[in-house]
Amino acid sequence: MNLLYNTIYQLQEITLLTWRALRSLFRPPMYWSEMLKQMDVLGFGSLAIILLTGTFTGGVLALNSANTLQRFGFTNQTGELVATSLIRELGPVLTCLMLAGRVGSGIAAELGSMIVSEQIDAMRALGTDPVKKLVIPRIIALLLMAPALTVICDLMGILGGLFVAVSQIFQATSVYMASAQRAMTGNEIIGGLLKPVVFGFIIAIVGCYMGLSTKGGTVGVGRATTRSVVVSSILVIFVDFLITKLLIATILGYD
Amino acid sequence: MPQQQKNSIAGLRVGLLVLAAIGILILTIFAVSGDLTIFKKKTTVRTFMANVDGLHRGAEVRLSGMKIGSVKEINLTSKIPDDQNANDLIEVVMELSGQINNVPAIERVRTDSLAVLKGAGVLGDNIIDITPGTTKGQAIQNNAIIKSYATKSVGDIINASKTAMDNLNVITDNIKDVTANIRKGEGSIGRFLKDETIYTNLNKTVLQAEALMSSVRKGEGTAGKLISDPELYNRANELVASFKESAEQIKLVLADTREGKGTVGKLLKDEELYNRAKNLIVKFEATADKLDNTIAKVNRGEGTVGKLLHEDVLYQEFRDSLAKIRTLTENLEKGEGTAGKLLKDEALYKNLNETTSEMTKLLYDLRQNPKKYLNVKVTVF
Repeated sequence: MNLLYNTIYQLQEITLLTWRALRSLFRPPMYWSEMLKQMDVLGFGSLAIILLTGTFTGGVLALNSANTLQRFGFTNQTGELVATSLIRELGPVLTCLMLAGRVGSGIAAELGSMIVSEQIDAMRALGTDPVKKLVIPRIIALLLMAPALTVICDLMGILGGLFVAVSQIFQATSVYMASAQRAMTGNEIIGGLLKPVVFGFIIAIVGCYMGLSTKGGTVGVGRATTRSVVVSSILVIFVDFLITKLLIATILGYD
Repeated sequence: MPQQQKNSIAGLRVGLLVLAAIGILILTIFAVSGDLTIFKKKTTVRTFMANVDGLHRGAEVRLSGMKIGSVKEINLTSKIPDDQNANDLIEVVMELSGQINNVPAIERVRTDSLAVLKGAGVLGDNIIDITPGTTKGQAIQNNAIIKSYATKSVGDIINASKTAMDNLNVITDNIKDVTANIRKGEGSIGRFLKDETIYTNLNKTVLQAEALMSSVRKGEGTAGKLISDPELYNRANELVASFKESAEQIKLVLADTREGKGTVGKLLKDEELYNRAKNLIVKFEATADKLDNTIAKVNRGEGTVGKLLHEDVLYQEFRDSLAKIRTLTENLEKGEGTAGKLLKDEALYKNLNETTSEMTKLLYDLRQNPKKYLNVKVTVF
């Protein structure tokens, strides 16, 4: 009963935090430089792991799918399979899981430390809204950076798949690229960019909430960080399922 | 963070509301994607088949290829069939969505619809395709039974095509033999491809034709002159011109003739010649009649000629005369009689010969010395 109560309570708190963030979104003052700084730290800082993740995921996907497609003699469809999987699913999900691990935990730890060291209270005492100063820049930064990093992840994945297709499956570059091009329809790309926007928001809001609700000193900071990663990762995968279901029912389905 | 009242439902109003909202959202998404159908009215249709060929629960049910529902149950009927071909062995229960594009499913699937088991692809799952009903049938009721129609499975088609493949094998073997023979140079086609003489001959023919054409182009020979020399043409032209002239003259002559001018014209137009010719022929006829009579008389032995022909007195006399002449000539031959001696005896000839030589001498002498013989004395009184 306590678990259920706590779950609903946290849901309520997250909703309220979201509401406050949205309400103060268009009210001055706007911390533009803070937003840019967060974009740099959260977005550009994650570029390296996204590049690596994307490349190797694409390569592995090409290896596996070519191995399976060989049984049916469809090896020349490898590009389409890799590109579809990446654009629809793996690009957004892997990018956002990486972000949840790297960025979500960072946000929770940073804000938790500020809570523990009572910097938030000081900020409030100085008349600065911590939601506006701390939460909104992070939400905005992830809303913008998550799709951008997803696009890069998709591209690197397709290139990694290309590398594997050419070097391991001995496929012609043109065959792979032509096949991959078939996967890049407008609806696929819209669906593939809708997901990271939602996921980015989840990561940011969960990280901020966990950080701001830290209790119990440095131990609490560690717990908040862990919970942030766990909750945002689970939410990303769960919401991904719902969004995919909705997309297939609307723009990506076959009938 | 604003402090919340803990351990009271009233403090969780927002959380519960959000939870409910998320629940409704999830339900909506499932409803949109067609998985959540508890709110829709369903129509159940049943059919019986001999074989469902791996059809499984949840397989698509289509109306003319459009998805309208899914297979709900597949049951093996409990009764033992009477023969192997019984086609009511398996019951397929299908669940159709109540509305298809705002038309009730029971209006489209009618009693004369047929459930057809089909493969979604060559390797794909099986589906059931229902043919649309017509006005001849009635709208079905819930839980109605429609007829099924068995199609050929891929296996049946492969079995049926085995015979065709065997025949194809025989045909390709034959073709192989034929092409092998051709490659060996056997038969007309083989020779044509392998034997070089035909090529050589063709080559020669072409070369000769080329030479011929070039000489023709140069105007050599009859054909060349025919093509390049205009003389024949000119002559032909002149000939035609003169023909034309002649024709015109003939035309004039014919015109004259028609008018009765000239001999021919008179011949054609004037009746005098005709009349005369007619008279002549009449006279000829009379003469011929007389001649006929005469000949008849001769035949009868009348008159001199008749007797001559019919009585042999004259012939006998003639024969006797010939015998006498023969005797005479025989005597002559033998040199009998005067005439015979004249012919046969050379004495007369000799004498005559001597006489003539003497006469010649005499005449010569006379010519030399006329005075010797012409010693004529003329005396005047």
